[in-house]
Formats: sequence, C-alpha cells, structure tokens
Amino acid sequence: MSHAAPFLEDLGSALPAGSENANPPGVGLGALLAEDFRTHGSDPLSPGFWALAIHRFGNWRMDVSHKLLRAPLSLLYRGAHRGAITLWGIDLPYNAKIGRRFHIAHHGAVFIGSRAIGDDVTIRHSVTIGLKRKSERLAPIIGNRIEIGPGACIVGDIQVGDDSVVGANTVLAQNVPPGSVVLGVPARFVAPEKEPGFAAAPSETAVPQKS
Amino acid sequence: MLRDLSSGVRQVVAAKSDENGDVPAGGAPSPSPGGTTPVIDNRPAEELGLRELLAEDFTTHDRGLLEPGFWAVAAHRVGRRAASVQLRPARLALEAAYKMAFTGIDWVWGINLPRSVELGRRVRLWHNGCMLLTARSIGNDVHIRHDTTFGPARGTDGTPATLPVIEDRADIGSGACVLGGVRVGHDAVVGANTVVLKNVPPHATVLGVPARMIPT
Repeated sequence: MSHAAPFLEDLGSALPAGSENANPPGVGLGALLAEDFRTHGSDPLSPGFWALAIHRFGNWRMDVSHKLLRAPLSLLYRGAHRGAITLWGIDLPYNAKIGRRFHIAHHGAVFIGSRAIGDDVTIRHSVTIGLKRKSERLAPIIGNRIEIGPGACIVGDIQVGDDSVVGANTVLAQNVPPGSVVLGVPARFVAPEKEPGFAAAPSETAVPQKS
Repeated sequence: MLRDLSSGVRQVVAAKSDENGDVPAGGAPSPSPGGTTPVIDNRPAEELGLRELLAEDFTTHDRGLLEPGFWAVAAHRVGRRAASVQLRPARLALEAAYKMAFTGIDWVWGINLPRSVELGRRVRLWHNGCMLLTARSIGNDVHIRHDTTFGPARGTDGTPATLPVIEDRADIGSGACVLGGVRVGHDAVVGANTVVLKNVPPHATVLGVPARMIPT
C-alpha cells in the first residue's frame, strides 16, 4: 500500500477533511439514530450510544451548506464532542467515517481515528484506532462485522478484513485478511477454537435473591 | 446457582488457607504483638451488617473519602441489599438511589461493578477508569487496579457459568483482562495488561497476551 508523504511539515489531521456528511448513505438521521439506539441495547444511559449520536449529528450538520446556519450546529457539536471526551472518555471525531450499527459496548479511553469503519463493528473500552507514528499519516481501514476486544490498539496504514476478531490488549499494526483472529503484542494469528477471544458485551444479570 | 457455586468456592478456599496457615496479603489485621496467629474474619459479606461492612471497606480503601474504589464497592454493597428491603417505598427509593450511584460511578470514574457479582470482603480497587468487573465472584482480599476487565469470552451469553471467578487474595495488575468461565486461583498474581483465557493455578504468576506462567 502507498504511504502518504512522510514529511514532518505534512502534520495535520490524518483523518478525512470532514467537509461533507459521511454518515452511511440512504438512511436519514432519525432512522440512523433509532438503529444506533437499538444497537446499544435500547439503553438511554449508554454512553456509547450518545457518543455515536454526537458523531452522526456532527456529520449531518455538514449538509447545512449555509455557513451562518451551520455555525450554531457546529458549536453544539464541538461542545457535545468535548463533553463525551471529558465525561466518558470517548473520542469519536465526526470525520472518522463510521458504518451502520457501530457498537461501543463500554466507555473509557476510547479513541477512534480510523479512515473508515464498515458495518456491524463492535468495540469496547480502551480501544485505540489511530496512527502508528507521527510521521506516518495514514490511519487504519476497518472492514465489516469486526469485533475488537478491550484495550486493543489498531494503528498504521493497514486494512482489517471482514469478519475478523482483534483480541483484548492486542497491538495490531499489519494487514489482516478476512476472517482472521489475532491476539498478542504484537498481534499473532490464533486458531479461534484455541484462544476463545475476548469479552462480549456484558449485561447486568439479575441479583441472586436470598431464598 | 450463582450463590451456591460461589459460596462453595469460598469454603474450599477458606479450608485450604486454614491448612496452609496462609495470611491474606492485603487488608488483613497485622499480627498481634503477643505472637498469636491473627484470626481473620472471613464470614461472607451477606452475614455482616451493612454499616459494619462499609466501615471495613472504608478502612480497606485507606479511609479515603475521595477513593472512587470505596464508592464503587459501597454502591455494590447497598445494591445487593436493596432487593431484600421489606418496605416497598423504601425498597423502590433504594433501588433508584443504587441505579443513580451505579451510573454516576460508571460515567464519572469508569468503574462498572455490577451487583450481580458475588463480592468478597476487603476487596480493594486501586485507581479508577475503564474497569468492567463482570465476574461471577471476587474473593476476599482481592486487589484490582484500573483498566481491568472481567467478562465473558467472545460468543458466550454472559450467564454466570461463562464469567470468571477470582479467588481469595488474587492480585490483578492494571490493564489485565480475565475473560470467560475461567478461575484465577487464590494468591495468584495477574501481571499488567495480561489477557487470561485459561485457568490460573493458585499462587501462580502470569503475564503476557495471552497469559503465560512465569517463575516466581
């Protein structure tokens, strides 16, 4: 794969410019948010849903072409984005392209600076997706139906193939073909039946009652 | 079922530590000057009064009123008891207070300790942030640090049998993940950023992704 010019003066945001609405096409904001809400277990207290809603809103506002009309929306977006970072530790810039049914299963220390993320991707807390180093300005491209465990770092100019699994605390900095399961620092391929992966979205089970 | 399994674990571990004469690593009373073996109160948390229990947790957390770990444990203790309050209005108020406290602690400090977890005595949560502690049970005198994850392995449903059991006096390093229906043995040490996917024997030290035993 080609690298962007690795010159130090090139340093800026490594993400797309964010000059247009990059929400998934063919679905309105309302329907998209309703779907995201269901993806997050229809829980109004889910920080993941709200962070994603702020992301969708940040993209949607780019459809408002008049600068003066967009300014208050941008102000609202920036405040909300900063709030999500401060309160929940979820940094999800609007110009990182994200597909449908993206699921942030738990919050805290989440940074998503990918070039693009497909549909039905699940991430958990402490997940970092971003640059490998300051001088290499290309972020990962994440495919469809990918599960990412807590604490995973996915960095650099790489592509993660569809239906892959990135295990907990894994540091992934290489291309991964579809259907892979990787685990370790640095990431190694594992047979799925040998290393059964990482946390699924937990739900609070019922409190055991005294009999 | 959850209760039966966990209390069984606790009895077995208690019996073993009696044989070996083990002394809990943390939070235990210091040996008395007379040289007699200290008697460690390892009754299940349910047998203690709430005030007594919270006072012990407060002491475990160095009597720090601003220790997020203390408040997370306190909310858990209250949440466990809320359901058994007889008076309906009091129960509803307590349930609401618990829900608020749980969400607030999860949002502000990032400690998610569901009340479904069978939590032992003198559990110490060091630091805060990104803690998701959905275990089946956590034993007495366990120390847990920030960024730790206990939870089901991929593709399982999160029922108690698919959740980890952390036995007495285990020491969990920051960033560690213990996933699936595995058991971390008593007095075991799980190193920082380790991913545990298999049982850890008692007194073992494990480190790495995935976890490997290292000599101590």
